[in-house]
Amino acid sequence: MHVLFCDDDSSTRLIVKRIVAQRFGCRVTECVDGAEALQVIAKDPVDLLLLDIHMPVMSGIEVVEALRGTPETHSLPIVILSNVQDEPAIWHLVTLGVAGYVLKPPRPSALIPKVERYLSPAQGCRI
Amino acid sequence: MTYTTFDAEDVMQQFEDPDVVCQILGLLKADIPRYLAECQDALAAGDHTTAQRAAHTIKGAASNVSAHQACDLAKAIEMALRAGQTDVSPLVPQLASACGQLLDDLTAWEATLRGQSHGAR
Repeated sequence: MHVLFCDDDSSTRLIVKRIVAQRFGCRVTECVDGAEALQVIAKDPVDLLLLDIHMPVMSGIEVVEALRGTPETHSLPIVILSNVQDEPAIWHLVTLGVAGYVLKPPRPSALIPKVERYLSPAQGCRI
Repeated sequence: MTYTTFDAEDVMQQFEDPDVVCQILGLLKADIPRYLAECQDALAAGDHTTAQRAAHTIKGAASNVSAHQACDLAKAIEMALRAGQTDVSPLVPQLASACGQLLDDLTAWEATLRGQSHGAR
């Protein structure tokens, strides 16, 4: 199983990578903006994308729109990690079919339940 | 030791391992001054989009260690800029001061944790 986490803050990346890798034993790739996320996914397909919204170069919303418009990634599970509480933005993401929304700061108690359905042992991920 | 700028107890409870906490503190100590400078420079250049994003990033980074004052001030700047207020000058020195105090406390705590870690070996 391969998880991609995209966030422009390095301390947040360290925290999320640690939570996911330690809990699920999956390979976790990091990137810092939306454009880089699309490049990573094109080269090395992922099973789950964890995504911030406000980032330089390309926002998380633009990334979701791009992925939903591509047959190969149309149904890729995406969990948003953000402190954005702007309802129109969240509703837009819901209409695009995001799998979950976790408010920052990322804590194991909130993050693990949102991602474990996509990283289960049945899908080949050791726990 | 109790720190007023962030919640050390909450951070230890969340991450448990002092070595991991020290890694997080090290990243925050490098990143927060950079994000703050980016925000200040962008405001000076009239680039409110970049300033807003930098303030947003400070808010997220500070929240990782429950640094409520720095987080709230960064949020106030972000919200003001998003609402179209271009003069956030009273808030910026307050944020700089809060970040400075936070960095001092993070440095002190990191030294304490590293001392405990070496003492235990």
